[in-house]
Amino acid sequence: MATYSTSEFKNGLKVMLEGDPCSIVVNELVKPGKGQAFNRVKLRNLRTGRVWERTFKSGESIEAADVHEQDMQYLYTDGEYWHFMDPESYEQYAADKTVVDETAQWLKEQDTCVVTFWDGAPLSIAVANFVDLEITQTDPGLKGDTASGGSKPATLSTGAVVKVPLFLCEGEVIRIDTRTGEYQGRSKGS
Amino acid sequence: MSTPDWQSSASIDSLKKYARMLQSIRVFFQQRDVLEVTVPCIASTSSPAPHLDSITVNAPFLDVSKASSDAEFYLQTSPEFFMKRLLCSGSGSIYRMGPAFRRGEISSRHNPEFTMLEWYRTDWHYHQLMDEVAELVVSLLGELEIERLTYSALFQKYVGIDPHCATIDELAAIAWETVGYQPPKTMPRAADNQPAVLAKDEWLELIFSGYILPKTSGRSILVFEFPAGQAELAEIMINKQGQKVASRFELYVNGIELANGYQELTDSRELHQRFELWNIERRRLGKPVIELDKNLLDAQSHGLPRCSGVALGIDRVAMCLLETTEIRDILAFPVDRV
Repeated sequence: MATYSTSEFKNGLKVMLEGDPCSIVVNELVKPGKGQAFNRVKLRNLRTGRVWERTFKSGESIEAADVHEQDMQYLYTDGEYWHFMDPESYEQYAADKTVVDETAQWLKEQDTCVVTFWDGAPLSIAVANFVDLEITQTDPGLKGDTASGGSKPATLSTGAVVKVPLFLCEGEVIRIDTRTGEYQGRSKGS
Repeated sequence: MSTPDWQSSASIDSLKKYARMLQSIRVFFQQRDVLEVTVPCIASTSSPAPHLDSITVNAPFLDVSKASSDAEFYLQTSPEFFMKRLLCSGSGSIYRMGPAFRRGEISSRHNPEFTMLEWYRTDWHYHQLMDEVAELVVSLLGELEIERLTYSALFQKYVGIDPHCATIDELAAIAWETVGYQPPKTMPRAADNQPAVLAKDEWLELIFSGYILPKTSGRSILVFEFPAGQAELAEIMINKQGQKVASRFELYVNGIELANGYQELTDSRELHQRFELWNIERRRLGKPVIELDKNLLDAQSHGLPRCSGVALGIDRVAMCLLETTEIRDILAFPVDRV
């Protein structure tokens, strides 16, 4: 079992804490002049996304997490599982709802995304910050109304519902910021 | 804003302010008739304090034709032992400003080589020395309200317990709540073979440094009456509540440790005993035992005058002066540029 000593702690290091894989986000040495040294650490739980604050006595070791990230192609969903493929080995992996979570609404077939693996199984999925998706349903567009600043809901090809300006019509491809779910503009490619 | 590695990490303006600060310190002690002394940085032994790690060098004084030797020398973690030998030699009140070295201490506010101002006042009680520390710091940093609090008062205020009579179970529960510390349960021992269990004073330090001090951000506090188990080389006395406490104090500005002082332990037999206990603790921590400084023990058997002494981290005072939390803003060449 691989372990890391506190002297090896650094941002991005993947470790196990209370049974969950975590990534170190802040590591601070606390060393009183005459006293025992400690490391104050913030860790992001890679399964739940929550940030934990923990202290370790300097010199302690914790278990390393077998976590790695890989570019994968999203294939399709059968409703229960989302299927991804390693574009080099063509090996396929299935991820369930708990893994895909909110990201599902931005997954377009054939798009490349980053899959984080823990002990060989998908742990989380990250999509690009910006994705281009087609509007499949929205109220008829008000042609020429680019100035009023109003918005309306639009359903996208992935099932996501976003707010878009009034002038957009069904069939148009738009760019979305996946971090906020906000409309960014018409796709450059359309 | 970061400069190329060959360049000074601190701005030239910061270095000028630092230099003026060093001048002010020398004037301060000159006016008070405290003698400046120079002591060696390299010595054949070092402090056995359990949580101080020395940087060692090989046989620096031997024939250069001999490539190496088993003899190890130590870069001094503080000038304390040489200064105490001077006090025993009859120097009277003295100060020394110069480098000190501590292995492994690297952080935004630690550099393994740093500048320490250490001074001793003969015939002074440690409360008198606390007054002088406050005067010096105010003269360097400008008007500053410095509060005085006991170690116990801080614990009672922030975590609601008296540190002198708290049990380990109480401390462990507080440490988990406040700083998220839990002793490892099933993990193997660390690479350096440190034991998993914490001694009571380690629990106290964890809560004090990890939780209480950050809460004092924005304040300047002189903390005194440390637990007897953290006496280091301070006299142990009985406080008003009838508890055994160390006549030790520390100065914290914005939660950052600036100074550590003692009413110095003068009893040479007790000094010897504490050194022996430190080496036992070092062994428990999996650290090399350090041969005791015979010259210091002989000097103190001859007689250390009643005195109080303090070490002040000059780089950290400069950090306060220049209002930065990064030691690399005031050092020309921090450890990653040497």
